[in-house]
Amino acid sequence: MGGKSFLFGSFLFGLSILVGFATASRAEQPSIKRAVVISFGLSAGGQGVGCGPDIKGLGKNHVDAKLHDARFYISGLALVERSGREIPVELEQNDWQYADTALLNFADKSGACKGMTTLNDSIKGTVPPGHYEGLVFTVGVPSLVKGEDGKDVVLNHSNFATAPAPLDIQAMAWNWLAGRKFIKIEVDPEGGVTRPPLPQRPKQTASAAPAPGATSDAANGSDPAKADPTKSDPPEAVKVNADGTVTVATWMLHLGSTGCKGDPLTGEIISCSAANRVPVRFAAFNPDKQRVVLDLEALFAGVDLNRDTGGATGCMSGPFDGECPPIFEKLGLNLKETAPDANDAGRPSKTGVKIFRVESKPRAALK
Amino acid sequence: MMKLRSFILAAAPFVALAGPAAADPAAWSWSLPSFLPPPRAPADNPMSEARFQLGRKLFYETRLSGNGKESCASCHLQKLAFTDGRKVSVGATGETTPRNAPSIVNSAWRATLTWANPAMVTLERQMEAPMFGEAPIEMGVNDQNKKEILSRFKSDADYRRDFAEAFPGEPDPIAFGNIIKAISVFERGVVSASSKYDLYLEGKATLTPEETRGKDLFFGEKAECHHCHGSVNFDDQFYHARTREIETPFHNTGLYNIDGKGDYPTPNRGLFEITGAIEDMGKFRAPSLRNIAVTGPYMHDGSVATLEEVIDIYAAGGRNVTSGPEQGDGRLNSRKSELIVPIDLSEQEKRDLVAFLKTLTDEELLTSSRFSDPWQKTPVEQRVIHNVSDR
Repeated sequence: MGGKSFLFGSFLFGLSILVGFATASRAEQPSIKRAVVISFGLSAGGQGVGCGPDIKGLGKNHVDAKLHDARFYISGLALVERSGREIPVELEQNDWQYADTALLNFADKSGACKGMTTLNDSIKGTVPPGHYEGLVFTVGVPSLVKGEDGKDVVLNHSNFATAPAPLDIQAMAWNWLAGRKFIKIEVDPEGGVTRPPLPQRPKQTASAAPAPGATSDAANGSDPAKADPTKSDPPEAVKVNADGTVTVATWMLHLGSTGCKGDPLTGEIISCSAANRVPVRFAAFNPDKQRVVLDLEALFAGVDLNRDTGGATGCMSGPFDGECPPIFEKLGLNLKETAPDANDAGRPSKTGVKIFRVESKPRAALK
Repeated sequence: MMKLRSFILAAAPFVALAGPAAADPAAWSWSLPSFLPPPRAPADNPMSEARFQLGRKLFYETRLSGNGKESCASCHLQKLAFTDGRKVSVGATGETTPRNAPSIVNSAWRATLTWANPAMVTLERQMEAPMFGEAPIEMGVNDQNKKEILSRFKSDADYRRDFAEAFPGEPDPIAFGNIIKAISVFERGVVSASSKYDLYLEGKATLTPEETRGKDLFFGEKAECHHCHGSVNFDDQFYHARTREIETPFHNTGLYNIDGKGDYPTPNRGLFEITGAIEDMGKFRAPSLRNIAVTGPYMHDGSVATLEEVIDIYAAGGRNVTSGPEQGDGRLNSRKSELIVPIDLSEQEKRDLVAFLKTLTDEELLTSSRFSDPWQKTPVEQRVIHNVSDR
């Protein structure tokens, strides 16, 4: 313990969890706080999932697969009193936890895994003493939190190169969308993922004669063909099949806010059309005896992991990607607006999230 | 020596006498023609000569890429007005980008950066994509190699001095955040305002009759180029330090219409790829036309080789792709901008337009030692001559 704590209120775009816990908890429980650890796990049905052994029978087609990457951000963690009142867990501030946001990592670079050197499967913090029955949290990084000085602190859209840990992980940054990957889960199914040809990039060969309108300097001086002859390593192993399809190794889920727009006058991101943050609630949860498990069997139940219909290989939150509808259904998110102008893309759906469950901690982990 | 009309290195009271040696490294002052107001710079990254010079070194620094094979300048060559002459660019590991390299010139006045991404509103933000992007890899900086890359600079005494001077008072200035800031300052400082047309505006040059007719067509209601290229930067997302409100339009110009359904080819479907809104299919930012004669091939995917062809496409109100997987008549694209309609241009008028566009080339920009590769000992001009004699 002993990590310094921030008092942050959460401002989650598109969610109704707006908690002014800083003042509330201060007023009622000025000093004594109780340590709490919320444990997480990764499983596939009944199997534990790690970087070594195959995960058996994943996806609609029940294929064996190896874990390739598994990391996700959790924010807005709170314990729920019998009355329904949510008491935020004040997170210890360390390399895995900043403000009200924590990064969990289940890929430690062993086996087929990428990821980070150490695993991190729990979130540490404090709560005022009380009688708690339930647990709520959100998968994702909030856009803004209030700092101790009352000023907004940018989280999701901060520059990862200067952001504090754990928002400094480049592999979890989504530069093009100016935010973070909230969930990155990647698996290598046996037999690979067969998909339509990768998007055709414009061919280099037939091109690059400078325009006749170009000045003579440009016409003589550019010579794109020899610009850097050493840069010719093939990007990655892709098997081209006889029917023109290609087979690649990895099926990827990247979830993050999409449709983001910045304000050129301030340089800040001002809105995202699909927040894609997943709210999770358990009415009954005992942090001492139980943990929250993300179930890959449930997550992938609607997709054939050996086949991809196009776009990103897997689902990268694209509203028109054929693999996203079944994944978003399990995440309990609207992939698109439910009706024109409903303005609810990326918001929680009516069916709810299906990838988390509560289970007893493994025997070894019990105190 | 070079005349540097875009800048004066400021040591405030005796500007006119101060050369770079006498200049205060912490100072900066824009010296711009009257028609170009100072640009916006982020509050946390003010312009300074020291940052500009550090940024210039880093812009041309291949050690900044993961495998040491690429710098920013690999895709942004000064002699091509900081584009690369390719249809699309090639990253450090050989992967191609989906898009044609945009020029960095006058990017300080560009409200959104890249071809179609409303989230890219600062150079600092935009730079994360080529530097850290994984699909495709461009510079190839990642979690595994970023420490090693920083150590390349930390072990270099010149860089230690440069960073300390550019970021005074910081205990550990050699960091990616500062690398990004310095390169952004360099990019903001790459200003083109000395083209023949600029000199004409200042009464220092005369346009030929052909160029004059082209100018009148460009700004007139017949060719209507000015609707999207009408700012002093010849685009329609121009903003500056005192801009209070800004619109950031994107346009479908009828380049594609796959199978007559209005689609553009993946992965180049424009703003649609960010917003997911079907009405944004094929919408791209109108690029600046400054130095356009040296920045071919053209369009977001480099699919048009010459300026003449570009003008033919606009005169036809779009492009008819007659064969291949991208077949379809872009002229009939239902999502095309209402501004793109057939224009009845004679061959002479087309030549006039090209002649005018060529007046936007700024030779000083293309050769100025202020923007050139500091790692090259020979002046840029000599290198070009040397290359030519090689053949």
